[in-house]
Amino acid sequence: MTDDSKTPISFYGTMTASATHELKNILAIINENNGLMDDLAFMALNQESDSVAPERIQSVCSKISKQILRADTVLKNLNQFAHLADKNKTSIDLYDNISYMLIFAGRLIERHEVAVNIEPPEEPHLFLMDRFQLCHVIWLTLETSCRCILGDKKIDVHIKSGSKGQTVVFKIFSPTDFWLNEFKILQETISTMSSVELILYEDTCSFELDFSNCS
Amino acid sequence: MPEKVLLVDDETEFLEIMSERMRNRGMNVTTTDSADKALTILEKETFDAIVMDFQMPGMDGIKALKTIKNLKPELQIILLTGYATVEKTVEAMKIGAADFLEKPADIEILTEKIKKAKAEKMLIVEKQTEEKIKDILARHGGGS
Repeated sequence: MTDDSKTPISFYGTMTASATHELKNILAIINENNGLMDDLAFMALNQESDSVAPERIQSVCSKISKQILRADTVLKNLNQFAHLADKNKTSIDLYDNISYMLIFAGRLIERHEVAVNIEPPEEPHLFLMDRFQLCHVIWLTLETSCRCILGDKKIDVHIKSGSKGQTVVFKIFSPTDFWLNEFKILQETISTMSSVELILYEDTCSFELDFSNCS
Repeated sequence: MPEKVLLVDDETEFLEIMSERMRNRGMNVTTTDSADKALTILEKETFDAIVMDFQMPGMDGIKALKTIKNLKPELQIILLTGYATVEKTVEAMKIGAADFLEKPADIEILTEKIKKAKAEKMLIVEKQTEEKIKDILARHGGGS
């Protein structure tokens, strides 16, 4: 695990930096589209081209609209992230929160070129937990998984419901040699910061996050 | 002769629009969406400058910079980034980046930097050619 996101404050920094970086990229695209409109207007005024085709202008406007929608989504997710710490314990739907983190941290996961596949559970189950803490645990798990993967970069996630509570099972395809060491460190970190238990299965290169003790 | 530029960014929409604007300004632009693909292109083609996003999926920006500098030491590399911190800039310059621009970039400033990069590259290539000629002359006893 890197030192980048071990503590709550560094997790907060990593996530907000990623979101603001994505917003910068979006602004860059809007800036260039705006600049192109300016270039086209300049060429038309100086009669460097016969005329500017309306379809061209529409295409540029449509690209700007698409980026605005994209920026709005990033900001909504960032706002949701900012509000995670509003309440100490709240009613949690695991699938919703893991899905949220996969989207919000998507850019960071994409840097590792890893595909994460999550199946929705047969039925939702709710339990009480600090939502910020939950998202932090999910992030640390995803980040460690992404670093411990080779070749066919794929992680499968599914949620199991037992009599005592819910667990999330992660299966890493093509793990690195050092995956077990990294996950033992993660196991210790998670145990010191929450009631979540990380259970490792060496033979199947998989692990579980057990939330039974959380409610 | 127009500047020949390799533009590298994982945001394909940015690549499309930026390359169009650069072509409108007379540049010969090739685009690609990853550092790995850029290295493959650089093995076969020559460019005056490479304009590259510093943070892309796959190869780390610093590693990409080092690999390109090893492959094509005369190639001038202009880095684009969302946030240019002093540490990042210093590290990149030490490895051999020619320049650093924050996004969203002003295309006129970028165009000037590319022209400057081309001039710098030509000086390096001239110097290399002079050295080679001196070496040949020295081996053949100075010629007659």
